[in-house]
Amino acid sequence: MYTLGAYVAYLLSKDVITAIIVSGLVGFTAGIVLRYLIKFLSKNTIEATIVSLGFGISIEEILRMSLQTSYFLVVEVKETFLNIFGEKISILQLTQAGISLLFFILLFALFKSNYGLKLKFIEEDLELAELYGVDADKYIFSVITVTSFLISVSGCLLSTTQALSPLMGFPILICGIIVAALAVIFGGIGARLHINSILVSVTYSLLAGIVL
Amino acid sequence: MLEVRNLSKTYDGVVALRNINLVIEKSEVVGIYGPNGSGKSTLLKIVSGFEKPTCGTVIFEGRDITNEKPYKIARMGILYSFQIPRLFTNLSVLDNLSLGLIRELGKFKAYEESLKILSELDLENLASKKAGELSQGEMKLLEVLKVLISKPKLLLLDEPFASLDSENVKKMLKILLKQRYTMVITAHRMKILKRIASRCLEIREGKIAKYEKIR
Amino acid sequence: MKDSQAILGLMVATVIFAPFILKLTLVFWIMNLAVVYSILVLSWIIMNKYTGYTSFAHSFPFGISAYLFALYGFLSIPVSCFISFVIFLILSKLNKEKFVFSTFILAIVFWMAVPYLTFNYDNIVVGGEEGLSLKSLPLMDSYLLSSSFLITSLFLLLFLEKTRVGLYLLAVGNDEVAAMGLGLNVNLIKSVCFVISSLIAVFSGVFYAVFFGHVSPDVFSVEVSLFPFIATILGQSYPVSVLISFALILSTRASVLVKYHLLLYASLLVVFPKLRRYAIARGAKFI
Repeated sequence: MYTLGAYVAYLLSKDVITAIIVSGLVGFTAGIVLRYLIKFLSKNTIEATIVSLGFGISIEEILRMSLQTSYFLVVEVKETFLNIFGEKISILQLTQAGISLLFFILLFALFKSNYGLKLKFIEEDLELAELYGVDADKYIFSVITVTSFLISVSGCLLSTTQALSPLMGFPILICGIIVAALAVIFGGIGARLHINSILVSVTYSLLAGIVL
Repeated sequence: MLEVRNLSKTYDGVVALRNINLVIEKSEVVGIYGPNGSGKSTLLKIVSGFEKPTCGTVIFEGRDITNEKPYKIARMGILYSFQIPRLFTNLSVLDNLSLGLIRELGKFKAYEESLKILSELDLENLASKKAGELSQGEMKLLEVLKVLISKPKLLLLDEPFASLDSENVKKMLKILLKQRYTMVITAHRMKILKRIASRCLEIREGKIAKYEKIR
Repeated sequence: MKDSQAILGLMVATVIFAPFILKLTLVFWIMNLAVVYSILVLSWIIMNKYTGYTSFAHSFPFGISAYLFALYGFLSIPVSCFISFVIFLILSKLNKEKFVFSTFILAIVFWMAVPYLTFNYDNIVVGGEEGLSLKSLPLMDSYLLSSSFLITSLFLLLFLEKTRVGLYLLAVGNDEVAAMGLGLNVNLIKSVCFVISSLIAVFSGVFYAVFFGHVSPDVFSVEVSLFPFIATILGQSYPVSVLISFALILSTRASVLVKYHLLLYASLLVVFPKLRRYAIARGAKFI
């Protein structure tokens, strides 16, 4: 999904807002497809992982076959800069940071709402949640489509920072797994897990930036 | 044969067993009953090595087995039958039964013994069926047969009658009454235990609350 | 040996020796590649069937043995086997789900890191994105070596499953706790399986290296990691999986599918769970 969003940014690089909206829609659609594939083909977590891995590799291969060249760069973005406390920061970077912050706040608010409470039940025990009248299918659908939307948009936003290739999603996949695994180690479900994930991912990014 | 001394077990602050002291003689059948969560299964799991006690010791035939690994305890002759059947679902009923015997008798003799026990219970039709395809009652029967067939020195049966209909309870009782093994059997109700046990203990909130000699 | 398994085993042996009858270089070449990947598939099945752990990192012993063989020759075999065994043993301390994820991460990390690895060999810098070159065996010799290894391993494994040791292995792979309760030393059995699996994977890497005469970072690719998984799409029967490996390699390397083979693998991954359940339900008795 991340790669899809980045390629949409490349194809629509002249209009940033359209690129963001289109990448979100593309991610959302891919999320719907993924949800139905997982629903009809898999019965447990490992099978769902395998199906989504196959789906991800299919997207990568389709991109490789349709856009034959190895690497692309998104360069046609007009950048304007702001001077904040003597530092030159581009409007694009601010937009990226602003949208990320908005996502975190929205997700946090979501977790604190009724929706978030039901998600916590499903996270703990799917069958038990259904026994208590939670429409697990609806919530799982919403989670997969919303996260696909978000990851696609983040791919679009970060496309200017790296060379695009069909395989660019793999490092993101690994980072995501490592961050999620570390966040789970620190415990919590729902909003607390979300906060842990934010802290771990920021720390990870800072450390990776310093070390590499 | 088996001696449990001052056995206690705590899970994250929840006390499952408190200072349990128990002696089991050879050929004795001890029934343990009590409400859910009283510590019956915990006691059996500690004796069989699947759980380690917070304090206390378990001595079997003069040897301290408190910290031994489950497979070593099994090789000493203490076999544990799980409350929720743990079978090799991808293997046949025959394979499941023979596994415990193979080391002593070799493969063919082990299969012969297994077929014999299935015939005695009119269950030969299940021999080649995969364990995962059995009904709940059949799985429970197989779970108990799997440990019985190995002729253990001490048999620990965790709720062998749970989720069985009356027909299968009769079959189970028939199997158990035929044996002369030293057994520890847990159940929710004393009524069933009275039919096979020589003495019964009630465990309540991790302690032995009542002791009754039946025979 | 079960009749159906023996028949399948003989079919595999026939397929392997077909090139000698056909005597076409291209067929030999493709079949050689199929044999090498089939050996990798066998090693994967050993781990999955007898320990219950699904590995997405069999490209690791495959690749590391190929690289080390190119540099140091036969010493690479025990060294690669040992390193792979230790890594699998450490990762097996996690639960089975986490093992899948962690092996996948290991495979990807190595795949990304290896292009940056260079070696100073006889005062020449080698490796990196180019990889390493070594003296390859003649096609016939390479094919004879790898196919005899495959046939021997295949029949040994088929025979092993019928012995008591095989029953112990199947029991541990099915339910560790139940196996412990019946007196099986599960940790020992799992360790032995990891060693055998690593060793066979290491040999497949060596055969790959001597076949191609060149080892590139692609030996650690996701494709290699996923291939054994895809080849066991109809279950973990050794002969069936080997036949499927042959079919996959033949169909994707010998035709217009060359450019699309990764898409084919990805599609198979997507339908894998459904197909596997269908095959097990319908064809279990035969397979």
